[in-house]
Amino acid sequence: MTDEMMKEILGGLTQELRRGVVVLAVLSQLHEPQYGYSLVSKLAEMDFPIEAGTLYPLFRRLEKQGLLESLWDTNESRPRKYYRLSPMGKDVYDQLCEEWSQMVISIGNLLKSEEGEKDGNS
Amino acid sequence: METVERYIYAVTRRLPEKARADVELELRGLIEDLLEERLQGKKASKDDVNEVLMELGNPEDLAKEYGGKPQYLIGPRLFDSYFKVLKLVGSIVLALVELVVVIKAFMAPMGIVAFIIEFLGTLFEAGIQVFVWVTLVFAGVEYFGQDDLGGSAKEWTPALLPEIPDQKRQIPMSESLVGIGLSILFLVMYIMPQRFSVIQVAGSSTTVIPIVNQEMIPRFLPLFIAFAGVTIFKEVWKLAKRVWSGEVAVVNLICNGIAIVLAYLLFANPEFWNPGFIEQVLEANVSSATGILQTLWPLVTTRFIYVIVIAYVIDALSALYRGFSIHDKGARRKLHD
Repeated sequence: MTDEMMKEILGGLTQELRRGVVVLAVLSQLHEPQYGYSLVSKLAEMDFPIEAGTLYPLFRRLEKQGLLESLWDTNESRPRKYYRLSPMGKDVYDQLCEEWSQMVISIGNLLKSEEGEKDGNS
Repeated sequence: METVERYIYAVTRRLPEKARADVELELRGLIEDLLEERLQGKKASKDDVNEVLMELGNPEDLAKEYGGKPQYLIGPRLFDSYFKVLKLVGSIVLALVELVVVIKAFMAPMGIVAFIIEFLGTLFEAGIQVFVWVTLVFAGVEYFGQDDLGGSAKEWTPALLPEIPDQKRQIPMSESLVGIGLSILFLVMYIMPQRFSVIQVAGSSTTVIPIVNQEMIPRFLPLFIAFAGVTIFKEVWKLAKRVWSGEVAVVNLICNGIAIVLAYLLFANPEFWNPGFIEQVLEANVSSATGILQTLWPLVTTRFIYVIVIAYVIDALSALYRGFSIHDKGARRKLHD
């Protein structure tokens, strides 16, 4: 197994991991209305960069599912579509957060126990 | 900015009609934002635009992210059924058209080269036809079909598991193909009696003595087609089911019942057979065979129906036996395991 192949596999797996939590990251920032590009910059600032090409379609999907509400703002120089959590979106976000915390704990335990075993064996 | 418009068009044209205007506005806003950030008030050059668009990536992928129309003809949901149907229909149709080619070759003998050319040509043509039509139908289902179409969308239960094929319960494909072939052969023989069911008398001239009553063919033909059709239907059904079961045996029984009634209406009717057969034989003066033909003829015309009935009854009974009793044995054996 060459280094390059390993890097490629690792890259793919990391991307899959990220893909799972992108929705959580996006929802977390939408208590206040955001338009697509403002959120791209914001997430990049917070060290969770996400491509505009991923975010814009994701907005539409979440709006279709009823988690987001949208509003066109035509007052500024160029029209912008703002999104924010709908009441249902808030509920879903809260529950998703709980799921996430639970998962972090479980995975943390798993990783820790593995560490412990390693230490025990050596 | 023309490139930007072309980029936006390349994305939106792949989207459903009602989403286009919205996505277009949004995308344009996004691209302008990206440009603005990059330039900080300077004027955008062509390179800047290109770089921003490169950042957004292939419009095809972006459209896919937006959930545009599927970019495939037959998706993974239908592909399994598609492949199965293609194989089944393909094998039946190809076997049948080649059979017709062989029958034709028997009726009007041709050189071996001509035969091979015809054989391969037919194979190619029919293969393409099957492929195109089956594919078109499935593409249509994929395009217009609802999301809950197709087998995998059904709620799965262990009862849906296919049985492991049991050698004894399997319906041999050859059996069905022979059945279909014989039906078509009969039909062709009946439609062209002058070509086929003939006794040719050697000598300077050839006399053709049809076995069936040629004048009555138009009247009997619908019945005959139904007779062949019900048999072909039965065999195709068996080909599709692959294994004997109670259901297949019952369908088999019903088809055979219909076939027997139709056979009775056909072969037991004296008008079906050539009424002048004996005279024509005597007239043609087939010295060696006249005697045999004279004794055989009444036997054939009156008893042929019995042969048919017995054959169909035996077939129905053996199907019932295989459909029901082997099923029980299989179940019992599984219990013992």
